[in-house]
Amino acid sequence: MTDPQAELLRALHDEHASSLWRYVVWLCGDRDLADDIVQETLLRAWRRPAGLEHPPARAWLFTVARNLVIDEFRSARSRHESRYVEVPERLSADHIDSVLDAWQVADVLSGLSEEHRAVIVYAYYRRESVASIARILEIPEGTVKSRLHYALRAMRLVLQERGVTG
Amino acid sequence: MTRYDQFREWDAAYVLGSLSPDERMRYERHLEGCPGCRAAVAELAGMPALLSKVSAPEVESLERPESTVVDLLPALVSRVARHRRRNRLLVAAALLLALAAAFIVPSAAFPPGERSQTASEALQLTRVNDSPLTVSVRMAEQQWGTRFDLECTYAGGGSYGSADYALFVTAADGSEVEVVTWASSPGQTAWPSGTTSVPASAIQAVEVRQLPSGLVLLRGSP
Repeated sequence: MTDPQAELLRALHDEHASSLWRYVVWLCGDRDLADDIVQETLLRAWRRPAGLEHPPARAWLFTVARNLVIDEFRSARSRHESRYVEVPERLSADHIDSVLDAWQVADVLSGLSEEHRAVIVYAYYRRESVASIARILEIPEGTVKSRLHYALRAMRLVLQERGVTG
Repeated sequence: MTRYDQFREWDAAYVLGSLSPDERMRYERHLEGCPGCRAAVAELAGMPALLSKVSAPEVESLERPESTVVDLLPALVSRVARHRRRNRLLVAAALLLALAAAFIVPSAAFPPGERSQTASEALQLTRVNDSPLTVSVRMAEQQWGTRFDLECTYAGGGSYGSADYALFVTAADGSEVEVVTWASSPGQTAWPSGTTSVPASAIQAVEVRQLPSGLVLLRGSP
């Protein structure tokens, strides 16, 4: 492998491998399968014929990965492999874009600092009030509001960078 | 602390519905007179809809990203290396083939592989109307459609005269296509061949018809 090619492969890997891997695990729950799918996706990106956009758009990589997962489930089903009898709901969903968006939200949320993540989980997903979050976390109510303010803004910013806008 | 400072960080709690009823009222009253806070709320207004794409149980089972950073680079590099070795072998094999072809040009006149690459399948035909014809049909799937090879024997000494015949296929969408026509006379055998763009998988029925009446003599389905 010549150096620029090796460098391209490394760059693709470092930029996308982990998030693609998390996306595939989110889709199908199979970590071993995710290893294979991510490798194949990155190789396809790496071998992309000249003339196509370089580097490929992130959305392209996620589409390739998702299609590979679907192929895998189709062929596993035709081989009657028991572990893939049920196609995961996230794969059979009609709303491809919203499944990707949902994963992006989950991924950004899990990437927040522990303090930021905690206040959003309590406030939105557990429907706790500022007062009760303050009691649970043993911090002043003003700090809860302040953390929510910065946490939600941080989330919004990262989601925007990933092309998810609300 | 000015009023603006007091309310400056309330936007997210308000948008997520976490303020107490009393706080909410005070904040809404403040919003009426504060364009800065109104803009802040507007910025975050889409966030609950985005958060709602993930369910609460899903959020509880989220893993920290540090535990999900993967290093697939070594595996990738070895896959690339394997692929290259295989490619070198393929290139060598292709060169040998090209050399061999140069010495046996006549046999290369036929498009290589086209006839041999797919097995043909014999089709059972059922007699629909009486006729002196015995027809065997083999169909072969091709990348570009379907190929038919027929052997058609016309029994000798009957009361029938010479006639024209045709092979028709009916596609899945109900359309009919004439594939090949031929003439037969008593005591003769013909080997008509024809192709159609209809893929083998889409062929519902194959019929041998008499022309020009269109009378169906034999019919079969793949």
